[in-house]
Amino acid sequence: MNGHPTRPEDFDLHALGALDAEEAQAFDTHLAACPECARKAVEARGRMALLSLAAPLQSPSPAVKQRLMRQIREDAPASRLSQEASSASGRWWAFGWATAAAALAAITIFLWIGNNRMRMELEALREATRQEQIEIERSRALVALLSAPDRVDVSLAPSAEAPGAQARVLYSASEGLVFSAENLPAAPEGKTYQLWLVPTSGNPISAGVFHPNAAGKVSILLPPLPPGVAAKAFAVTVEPAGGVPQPTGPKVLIGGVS
Amino acid sequence: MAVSEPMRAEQQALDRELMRRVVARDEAAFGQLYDRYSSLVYSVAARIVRDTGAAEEILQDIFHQLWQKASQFDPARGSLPGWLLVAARNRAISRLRRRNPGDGEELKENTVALPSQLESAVAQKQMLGQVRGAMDSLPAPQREALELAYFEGLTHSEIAARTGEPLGTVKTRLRTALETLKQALHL
Repeated sequence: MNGHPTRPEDFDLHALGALDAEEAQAFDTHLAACPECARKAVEARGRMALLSLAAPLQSPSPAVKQRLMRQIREDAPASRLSQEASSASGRWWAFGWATAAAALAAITIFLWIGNNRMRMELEALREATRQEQIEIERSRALVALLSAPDRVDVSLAPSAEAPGAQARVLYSASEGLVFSAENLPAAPEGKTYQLWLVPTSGNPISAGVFHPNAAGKVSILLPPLPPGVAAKAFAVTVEPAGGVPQPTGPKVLIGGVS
Repeated sequence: MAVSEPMRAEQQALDRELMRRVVARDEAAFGQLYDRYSSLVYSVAARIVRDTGAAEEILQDIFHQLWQKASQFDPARGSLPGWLLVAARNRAISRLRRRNPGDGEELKENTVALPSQLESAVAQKQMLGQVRGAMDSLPAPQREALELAYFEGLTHSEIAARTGEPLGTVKTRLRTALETLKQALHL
């Protein structure tokens, strides 16, 4: 067919399928190139569909609907997949890969965050364990100090710098030292308190610097000291912040080993 | 047409809504669509294949395909009952002539614009009466030629061979019959 179909019924005959093979093929070729005739062909299909109504109206058995509903239920997941796969298999796969990649990235980040969190928790646990270990060691050391045969119990008397202050030292040359004080005023601005072990021979040894709390209390447990030092006295001085190697400031508390 | 255009629009909107739900895998909506159109589809298939079991299989196949390919159906381009009727006829004729049903029933490709409404049971009955009346008014040779073309899927040459009439006569009969029907149905 070179031109447009000449008569309106041509479209109906085409829709009806009454055209012989050669005519039908020529018609189809023309429709593919002519949107106007293609539109008319769609209309003709509708007109011809109405001829179906010439068929005597019958109702199908209710069993058909039951079978159909069972069928769609059975193949629901599969049909969805096949539908997506057949209509856009490339898209589906691309979507699949993109989804998989995104999921993998999410899992990786999730694991990384989880890993970091676990590492931090583990670190915190280790630290807590270490602190507990230290506490246990201290407790042991305190018990050892309290029960040490060479333990001395020294009360420190206040000087005029801190008249109401009270302090006490427990000391063992082998097990260490515990110091506690009460009613101690805050150290002057830029100054700190420093505890000294005065050995039976040689220069005083620093047992650490400290600041009392707001209530004027303070404790020093087992400061690092060289072992085996025989003590003659204990003293607290006021020193520049950070402490000094040897006492320079005024004595606030002092007590001798009896 | 006895059924008003606003009513038709309403029925088509209902079809669109049901199809939208079918795309979303709503079985109840699918059941409603089946109830609306199963008799139409079954009647065409049964008239063509003249076998209850085969007609039921075709009916089930077509609705199964509608469920599977629902997302391909574009309600803006074609009418759902139109597509169902064309699909029913194509499938039944393929079966009758022992041809494999082709891909011609793809929902997106086989657009059918129905000139009148079939979306409600009332409209279906009205159109059915009109079409049957128009067919009955045709002279017997014309009606026979048209029925052979429509319900058996025969071409001009095949009708001529079946009836023993000259090809030109068959062509004229078919054209005349179609012209008469269009006038009778105001198409």
